[in-house]
Amino acid sequence: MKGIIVKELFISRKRFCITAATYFTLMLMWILVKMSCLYGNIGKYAGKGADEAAKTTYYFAVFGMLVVLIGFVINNTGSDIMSRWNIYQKTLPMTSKQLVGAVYLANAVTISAAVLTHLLMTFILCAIFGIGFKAFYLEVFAAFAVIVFFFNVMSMYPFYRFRSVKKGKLAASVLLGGIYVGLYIALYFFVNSSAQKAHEEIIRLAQEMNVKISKLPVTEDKLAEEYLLRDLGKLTDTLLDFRWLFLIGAALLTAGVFFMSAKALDRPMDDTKPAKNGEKGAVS
Amino acid sequence: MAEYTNAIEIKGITKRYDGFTLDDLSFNVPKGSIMGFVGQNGAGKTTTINTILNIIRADEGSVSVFGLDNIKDEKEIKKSIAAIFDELPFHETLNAKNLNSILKRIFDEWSSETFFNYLDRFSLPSKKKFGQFSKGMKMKLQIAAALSHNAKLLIMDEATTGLDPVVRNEILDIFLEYLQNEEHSILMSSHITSDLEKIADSVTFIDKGKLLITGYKDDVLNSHGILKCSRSDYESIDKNDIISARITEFGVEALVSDKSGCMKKYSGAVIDPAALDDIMVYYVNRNKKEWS
Repeated sequence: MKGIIVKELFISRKRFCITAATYFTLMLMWILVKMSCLYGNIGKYAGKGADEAAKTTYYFAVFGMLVVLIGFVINNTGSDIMSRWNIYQKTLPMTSKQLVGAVYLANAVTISAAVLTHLLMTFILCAIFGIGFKAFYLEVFAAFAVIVFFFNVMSMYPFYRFRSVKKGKLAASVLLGGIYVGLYIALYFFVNSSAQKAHEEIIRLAQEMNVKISKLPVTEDKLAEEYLLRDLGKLTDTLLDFRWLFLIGAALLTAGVFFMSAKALDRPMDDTKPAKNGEKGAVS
Repeated sequence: MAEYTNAIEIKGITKRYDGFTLDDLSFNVPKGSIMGFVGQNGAGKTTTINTILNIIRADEGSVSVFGLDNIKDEKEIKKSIAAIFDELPFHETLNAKNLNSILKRIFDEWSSETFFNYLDRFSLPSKKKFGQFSKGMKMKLQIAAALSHNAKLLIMDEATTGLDPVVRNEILDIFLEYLQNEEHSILMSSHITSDLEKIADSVTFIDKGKLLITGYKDDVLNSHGILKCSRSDYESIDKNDIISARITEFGVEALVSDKSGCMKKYSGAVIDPAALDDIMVYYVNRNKKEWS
């Protein structure tokens, strides 16, 4: 298994270097923004002055930069097919579970290392920005690591199953696209529900205070924003209450995908429809 | 591993695809020898090799390697075999140093010293990416990797195809060196019969998924011959004695499989030695019987 882990790291090293360079360059940028705020060079950013600009920059650096860490995810199943390594590894003295397990382990190691590095950077940012570290950051970072790991192993499965780069990419795109659409629809309903509640509240307030809507001290948009934040807060609380259930569910699903991937890898190379003309990785 | 006589034993292997069937193939690769596995393109050589390596599964039949079942004892077998393919199966972004780091953690008996010695011998750079290697360099790299973990069996699928004569010669010498150890065996598939004539101890011919001949190379070469005669003399030859005949306006050249018998039967006929190349060509045309 160690050999496969080393192989995954070697193949991904260029991407790791680019991701690390991007991450630290952006972090430096956020720190420079803070220094700029100290000297008052950033004025009405977000319409509220230098302190607000610094705060916004801080939260963006702590949470937004997590997205950059996705570059440390390992998924070389496509390039394994292109290079015919997937055929060579069938001649190695390793079981399919060891092969898939090694890839999962490599992922776990790199994602964990990336998140730990980000945790360290967050402590540094807290010191520079003068904002206290909050315990829930740990939960957010851990949740991020678990979610990214889970979706990565899900997107690897189509490559093991179809042994075709085109089909693997298509299936992975459909899966991730489906999740994106699902989240978009969920957010749409959330926003719509908040807007609906805000609209009903505004009408009720106008009737109660016996004034026109335009004369009310609060706008419908502001109310909708508050309802949305409140609903998201409730959802977050619910998710946090049931976080162990989600963790167990994610672990079980990951285990399921692991066994399915190992089984797919175990199948004879000619057990899938052969790749089309000229596509690499086909067994002649 | 228990004692065994044959490095590979193939019994009744059948594999069916649309438009092609590997049909009831049986042959052995004796321990300590090189078996040349010959056939034209599409004959079923790669299918057979993939079955031995458990890359694909046969529909019927069995394969044993070192006396062990190739499916049940797969992991045990694969510690001691090395496969060499016609295309390099390593990522192009890796270099030889990286490959050493990877394979030394996979094979218990990997020797980095042996690997780098072969790299020096083949003049392969250790830090150059594989994507920049020529075809000959890629093949030498595969051979260096194959010979660095004390493999008892090399299985090569068209390993010398596309290489120039100088590189092919170098590689064949390496294989002869490898076979100095009596525990080592090689199964080498190729349609370049001149390579096999140089080094093979035994040969197996297949065509369109069917076994044609299997046996010691010298026996095969000694038993076959090219009977040359005029077209009028050809009429008097028993067609059961010939595999196929090439008919030209100048005469007839027919392959016989019982050279000494035909020499006695057709005492006036000229029967020249047949090369593996000739044997392959004439057998491929056996159904036509007469061709030009």
